[in-house]
Amino acid sequence: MSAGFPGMGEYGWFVWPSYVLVLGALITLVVVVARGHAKWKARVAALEAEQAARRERAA
Amino acid sequence: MFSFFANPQRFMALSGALLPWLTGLAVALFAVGLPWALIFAPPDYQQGDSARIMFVHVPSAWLASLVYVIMAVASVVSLVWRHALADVAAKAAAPLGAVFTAGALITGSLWGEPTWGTWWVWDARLTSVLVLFFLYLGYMALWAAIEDEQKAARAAAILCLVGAINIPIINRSVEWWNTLHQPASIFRAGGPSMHESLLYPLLVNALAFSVAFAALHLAAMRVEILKRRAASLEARLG
Repeated sequence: MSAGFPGMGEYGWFVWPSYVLVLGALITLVVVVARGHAKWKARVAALEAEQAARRERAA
Repeated sequence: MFSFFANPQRFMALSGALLPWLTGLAVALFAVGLPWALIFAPPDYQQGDSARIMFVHVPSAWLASLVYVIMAVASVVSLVWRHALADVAAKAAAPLGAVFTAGALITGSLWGEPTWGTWWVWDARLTSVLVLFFLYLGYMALWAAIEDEQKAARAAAILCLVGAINIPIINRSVEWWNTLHQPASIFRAGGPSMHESLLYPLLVNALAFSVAFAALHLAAMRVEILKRRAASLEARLG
């Protein structure tokens, strides 16, 4: 077992920012992609509904 | 088999089923890998706790190169066989690759200061990875600059293939030139030079990053397909 957690002494200022930065970037990517997916899925659904309504009116 | 999955509708169905499993697997691997890296792995006998940066730096650096290789393969498929999903795959991977490359550069800098006594040095490994970062930015800028999607895909694929020459340079830079960056310590003749107590948590974290990338890439490809579907419906509806 190491004594590294949680402060890591003189190296803490290098280790913690590395983890915060990389994991923060990964979480940001997940949020951005998930929001984009929800936004475009809703947009496609709305456009498909409009297309179906137009076809129905035309028929 | 590739042609079978190159159909966007089939891809949406398959990726929709795969995504929850990949996401769950990535979360589980991080749940094991991060405490192992931060708490249970011993400090390095020379570098002390600063060596813990390795568990996020090395996976980021591996993925920085791997994502570019995936983009290059997708670019070849896009240029030669014009598969519907190939340029979607390359375009969706680029921002992810740029983030992993930035992560590798910044964590490398944070590791360099306590280990080498400097944040940055213009040696072959660091410089070639910085070039890779600019290649990702250039690739994304090219996609954004050309309105016609087919022309953009073609130009971006050519840029990607020209830039692929940088990948073997990154890989071999520590052998071809005298660099401050250490040579390979895992994929080398004679097996890994790293002790198991550090190697295993590194491999678990590398797998966690890779599965997270796979999930993010599939999701980003789905977003790109939905965007194109919306654009085609908007054009049809007027």
